[in-house]
Amino acid sequence: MRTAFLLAWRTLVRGRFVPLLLLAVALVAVFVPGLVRTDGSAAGEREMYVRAVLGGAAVVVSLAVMCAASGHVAREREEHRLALAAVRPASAFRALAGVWLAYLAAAAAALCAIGVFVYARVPGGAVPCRHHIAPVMPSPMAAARVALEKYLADPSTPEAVRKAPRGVVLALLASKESDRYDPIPPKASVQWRFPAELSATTNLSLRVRFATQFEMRAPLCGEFAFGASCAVLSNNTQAVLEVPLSMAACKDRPSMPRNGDSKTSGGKEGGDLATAVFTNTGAETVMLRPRRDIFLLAPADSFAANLLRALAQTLAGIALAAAFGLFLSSAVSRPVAVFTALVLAMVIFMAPSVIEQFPDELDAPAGDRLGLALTRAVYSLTAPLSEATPIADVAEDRCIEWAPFMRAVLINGVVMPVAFLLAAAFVMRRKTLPDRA
Amino acid sequence: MSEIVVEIKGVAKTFRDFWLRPVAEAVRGVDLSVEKGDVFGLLGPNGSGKSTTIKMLLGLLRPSAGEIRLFGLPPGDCRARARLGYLPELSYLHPFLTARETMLYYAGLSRMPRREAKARAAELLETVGLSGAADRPVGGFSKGMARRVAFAAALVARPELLVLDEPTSGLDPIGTREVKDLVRRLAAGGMTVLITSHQLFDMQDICSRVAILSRGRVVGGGRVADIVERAADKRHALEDYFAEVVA
Repeated sequence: MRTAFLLAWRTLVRGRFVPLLLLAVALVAVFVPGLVRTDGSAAGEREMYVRAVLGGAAVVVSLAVMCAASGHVAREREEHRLALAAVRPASAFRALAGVWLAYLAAAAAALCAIGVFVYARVPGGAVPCRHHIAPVMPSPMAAARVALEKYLADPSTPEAVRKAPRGVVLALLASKESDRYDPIPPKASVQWRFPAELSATTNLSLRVRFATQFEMRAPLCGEFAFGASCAVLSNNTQAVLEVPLSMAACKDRPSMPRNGDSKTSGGKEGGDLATAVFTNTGAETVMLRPRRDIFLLAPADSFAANLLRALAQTLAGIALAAAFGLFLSSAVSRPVAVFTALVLAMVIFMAPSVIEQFPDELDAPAGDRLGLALTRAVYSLTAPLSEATPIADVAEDRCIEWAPFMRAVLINGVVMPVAFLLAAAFVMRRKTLPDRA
Repeated sequence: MSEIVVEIKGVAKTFRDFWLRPVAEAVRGVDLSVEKGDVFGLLGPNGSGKSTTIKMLLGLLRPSAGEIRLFGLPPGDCRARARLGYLPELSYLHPFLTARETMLYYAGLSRMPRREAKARAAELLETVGLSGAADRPVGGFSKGMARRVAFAAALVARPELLVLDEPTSGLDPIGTREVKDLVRRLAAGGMTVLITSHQLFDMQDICSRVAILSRGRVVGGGRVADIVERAADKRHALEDYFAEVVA
């Protein structure tokens, strides 16, 4: 492995891949801050540096590493060097692992450089990240099942829905579930449940975004209570509001409903839950998507620690892309491997929006349904990669939680690459000569 | 009885297209055996199946039929590969590595300890006359220099069987002579050498036995000394014999 690593690393450095990668990252660092406008605030500057500079550099590094890795084995094969290595008593897996580690080292060098730059440039770099805790709810599929039962019991449900395959309807309802709005008429209250231990946390804040039925701005007035803490909301709909929860706010408003003390045991997710209550005190009906628009924010750790986790998680994604690229290039020629990798990368990143924006699947022609099914399949297979947005999390001061972080690093950075490298080694042993040889 | 290093029995190779339709029958039932200490020449006109046979011997291609044994083991076996050195027709070196790094790379692939590999690399670079250029990238080497690096890389793991595919291809007369001298020295040291070449005059000089392939079949061969003894023109004995059996 060491031998293959040294060879690949020297090739990457002397073949100018690493210097060009560092140059590309430096260009992103120099030019992007001049191209992206911010609102002038420290938070806006921080978001620009993290989201645009770090995010842009991460995209450049990911694509460069994936494309280069996608051509690596194929190039060695086409230039007959693979055959020379294959007649030695070396393990193909170890040789590939060495090459993979070299690509990883190149990506790590580039990410470290841009990470240090961003940390140095971010104003007030010590702003800590916070845990973003969403209300505890049943899974979208469980909610979809309940909704489907309700639909089927309703005599006005169209015949097409009744005749459609249950799986298709459930998938449709589950995808709509995350965008489901709960309307809150004037003077009405709604409740959500959060983990009960949060009610004892000090320095809690509420992040919420309300909307109106026609996505127009409207005045928003309301009161929020959780445990012994409250907040008063007064702003416009459409705006993301962030208000601290305090006991003082509760004292000012004795009329505010306090269901925060009432604990419910269990729930599907287990553990004790406490109820949070929001009362709409305004004159307009407002609404929000409980899976997307409301979070309790609890203090977590430092910006630097969060940034490090984001870089590690990004590197794990690049590790997966590099291993997949090596697998592709072990099986097919260089242009085919690079083209396939690029197309797949596009599908992975576009799949969520294609699925989300696709019109009613039940009315779609068979060809479109097939395309959507394929996109869904790719999406479900690559969800660990496409759903992880560590850099966006850092930009929003959202703490990258340890459990998903470890899972992403382990799956994307170790398990999947090892599986791809094993498959690549298997194929490479059987395909050491170029097709024309 | 001496040890059989390479044994090829009834080996055939048919190349197929994507739909598995036969495209070319490159080798049709070849039988060969190479004994320890032999300098064995595998000769034949272009397209006779020499390279395909060598590639099957090295485990780079799978035979469609028949059996190949290297040191009594299948060609893909690591224990067999550990005893094998291979010089391809063209050098195929990594252009960004220096001559020394190239040697260390192939020594590493052969699982040689680092310290031993360094000493061996220095020794071999001295042998092939490249000590002065050891730390220059091989991408800037002339064809002859690159050939010498590739030859040294084939020898780095102290192989017992050396497979040379057109070892003198592209070399000037002096380089060709150096290669022939080196092969003789290696053979004198007990190494088994299997060579393919079109240079029949050179083959007559260095081979102890030859086999001649034509259209995928062995059409002639034997001990070079016997072929020379039977020939009227001793100097061109192998060339005349080759022309006779191939025709």
